Amino acid sequence: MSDAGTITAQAALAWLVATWPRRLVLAVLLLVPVLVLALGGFRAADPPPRDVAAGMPTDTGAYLVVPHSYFVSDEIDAYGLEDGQTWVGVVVDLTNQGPEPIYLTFNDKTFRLGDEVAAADDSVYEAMRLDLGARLGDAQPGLTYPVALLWRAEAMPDPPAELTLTMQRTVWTEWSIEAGYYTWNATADSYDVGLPLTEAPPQILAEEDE
Amino acid sequence: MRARWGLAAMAAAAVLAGGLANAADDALLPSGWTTTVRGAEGEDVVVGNLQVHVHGATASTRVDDLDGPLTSPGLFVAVDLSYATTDAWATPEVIVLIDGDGREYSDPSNLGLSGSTWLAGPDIWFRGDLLFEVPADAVTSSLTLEIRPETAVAVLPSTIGQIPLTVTRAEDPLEIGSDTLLAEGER
Repeated sequence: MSDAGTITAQAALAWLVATWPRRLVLAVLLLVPVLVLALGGFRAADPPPRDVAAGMPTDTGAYLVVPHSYFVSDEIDAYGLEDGQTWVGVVVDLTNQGPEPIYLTFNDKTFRLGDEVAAADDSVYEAMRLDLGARLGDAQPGLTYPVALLWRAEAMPDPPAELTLTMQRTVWTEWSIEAGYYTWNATADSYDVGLPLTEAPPQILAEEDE
Repeated sequence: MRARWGLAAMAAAAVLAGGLANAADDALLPSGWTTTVRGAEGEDVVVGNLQVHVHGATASTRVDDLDGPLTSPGLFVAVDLSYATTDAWATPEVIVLIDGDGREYSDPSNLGLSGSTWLAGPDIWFRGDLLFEVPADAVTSSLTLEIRPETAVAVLPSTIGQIPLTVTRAEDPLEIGSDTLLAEGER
C-alpha cells in the first residue's frame, strides 16, 4: 500500500489514459522512439573519411586504386559534353578485385569528386584506358588498368591546384530478394585523397581536324 | 465485445496465412536453378537452343588493330569456335570465360575490335573468334568457356554450357577476323 498523497506509477498511468486527448498525446510520445529507430536515428554515426596520400594503393573493396592526379580539359576523345561544360578527369591505376567484370560508368558507387568542382553528375560519366587510348567498358577481374575517370563539369578557367577525390568503400553483397545474385554496395567508410593538377594525358586527346 | 474478438481472430488468421504462404514459397518453389551441360573441345555440344563446337584458344599479349597491335597489361585470349541454333536465328546472350578461381571475364567490346558474338541460324553454322582480355595468372589456372544462350531471369530455370579450353600461347599478335558461314557438315 502506498501512502496517501504520493504519486504511484499506477496513478500516473490512470491519469494519462483517463481522457482521449491524453491518450493521443501518450500514443504520439510512444511512437517517437519507434519512428527515430525506423529512420535510422539510433545507428552509429558515419566515420569521418580517412585521408590517404596520392600515389598510395587504397583497397576500396571493389577496386584496388592508386590515385595519381587530376586534369581539366575539353579536348578529350569522349562523347557527352554540352555547351559550357568541360571534362574533369582523375588519373588512377585500377584493379577490379571482385569475381565479375564491373561496368564502371554505370551507377558507380566508389568515386566522388569534392565540392571544388561543379560536376554535372555524381558518378563517373566515362572511363578511358590510358594504355590503349580506348574506352574502358568492363573492368575485368584481376587486370590493372591505367585509366582516366571523367566527369562533366561547368567550365573551370582557373582550376584549383589540388582536388579532393572521395573513394567510398564497397562490399560484395548478396541481394536480399534473390539468392545467388550479388552487387557492390557502398558502406559508410570512405577515403579522401588530394590530387595535384596536371596536364590531360595525350593518349586520350581528340585528334585535331586537318 | 464478441464482434471485436472475432475481428482480432480474423486479422491474426490473415497474418498467419500470409506467413505460411511466404514460408512455403521460400522453401518449396524452385527459383533461379540452372542445368549445366559440360562439353569438350572438338565435339558438338547442345546448350539450350544453341549448338556449339569449340576448336581451341590462343593467348598473346598483343592483338592486331587497324593502327597496329594493342598490348594488354595481361593477355588477350581468342577462342576459335563455330555455332548454330536449334530453332530460329539468334545471337547467344552471353559467352564468358571463367578461370580456375571462379573469376568471370566478358568480351572487351569497347576496344572497337571484332571478336563479339555473332548471329547464327537453325543448323546454319558460322565460325569465328571470340576475344577476351584476362590477367596472365588466369590462363595458367585453367580457363573454361561458359555459354548462356538466353537472358537469365531469376525466377525461371535456364541452361548453361561449360567447355574447358586448351590455351596455346602465341608470340605474334592475335588476328581477329569476322565470322564466316560454313558449308553443311563443316565445323
